[in-house]
Amino acid sequence: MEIDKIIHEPARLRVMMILAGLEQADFTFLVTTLGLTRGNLNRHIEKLESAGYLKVKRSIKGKIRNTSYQLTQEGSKALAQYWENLDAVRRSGQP
Amino acid sequence: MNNKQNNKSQDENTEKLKEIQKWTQRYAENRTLPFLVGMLTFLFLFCGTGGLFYVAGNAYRGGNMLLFWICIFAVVLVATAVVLAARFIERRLYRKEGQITLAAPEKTKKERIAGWAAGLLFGACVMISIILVVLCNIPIKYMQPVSAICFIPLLIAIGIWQPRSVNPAGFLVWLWPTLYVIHAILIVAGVPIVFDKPWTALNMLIPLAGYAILCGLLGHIYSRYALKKLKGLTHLEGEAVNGD
Repeated sequence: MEIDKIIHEPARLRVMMILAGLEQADFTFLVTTLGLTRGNLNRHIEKLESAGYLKVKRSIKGKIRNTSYQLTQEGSKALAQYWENLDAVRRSGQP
Repeated sequence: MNNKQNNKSQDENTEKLKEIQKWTQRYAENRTLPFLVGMLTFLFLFCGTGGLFYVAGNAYRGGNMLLFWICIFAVVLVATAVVLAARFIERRLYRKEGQITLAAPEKTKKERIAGWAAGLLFGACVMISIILVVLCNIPIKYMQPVSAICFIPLLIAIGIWQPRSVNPAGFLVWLWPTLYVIHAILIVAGVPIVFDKPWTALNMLIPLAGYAILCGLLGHIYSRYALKKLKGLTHLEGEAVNGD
């Protein structure tokens, strides 16, 4: 049973869990809810995006640029699998 | 002993993390500020233009055409100002908190038709209740109870059917029609909550807009609570947060 190391990191797990409850959320929402610095959040998002767990949507509203994130199908599956594996590990009492 | 305690606290933390999704959804479902701005815009338009139309009508009947045209010009000015102000405010809502979209489940054709039917039924009931009061001499105090009749089967239908498209809006979907029906029952029971002339419009305005605003406010308060809970679960203090 292998725990997905990309998701297992605390900040990335929280990003994934927030996005799992929504269709999409923008950068401002994630940064204020998680209390991370913008640079830190960017790095985590890049990792999730390169793993194929997140989809990035860029748009312009008036003069304001907006970047939104959405969990991909692969991301949703990976998150469900992560919890399944973690629960199995907890049940078996492994560290 | 220490290991057991560590395991227990890890289990608790893991269970807490699983709640992030729930509180994110609850927060998203109850972001009611755009709804409140919409309702207040409607009220300002109704009161502002209604008052001016009343003065314009009196001026027209009295032959004061200058005052009449001033009032008509003022109606256009007030309506434009209210709509522009509402749009200005709407654009700034949740700017600091960020924008989110709730995953709305795809509505089935049956649900779409039922939604339209429910809306039309309610609209028809409001119109019929007004016509009954005006044409059939039904006492004005029964105007709201007549319009509330359609809500009872509607509430029962929602309760039995529980369509997925209704559930995301949470308990507030239930609250407004329930308050509307309770208001009607109180009137029929003889509780003195009926307004006489010149405030008869309030008999419909309070149950329609007043309860809607009340529900919107409750939703907003709940969204603050949900956000506080969410931040409590997601804030990363003292944990490794560098992207490695």
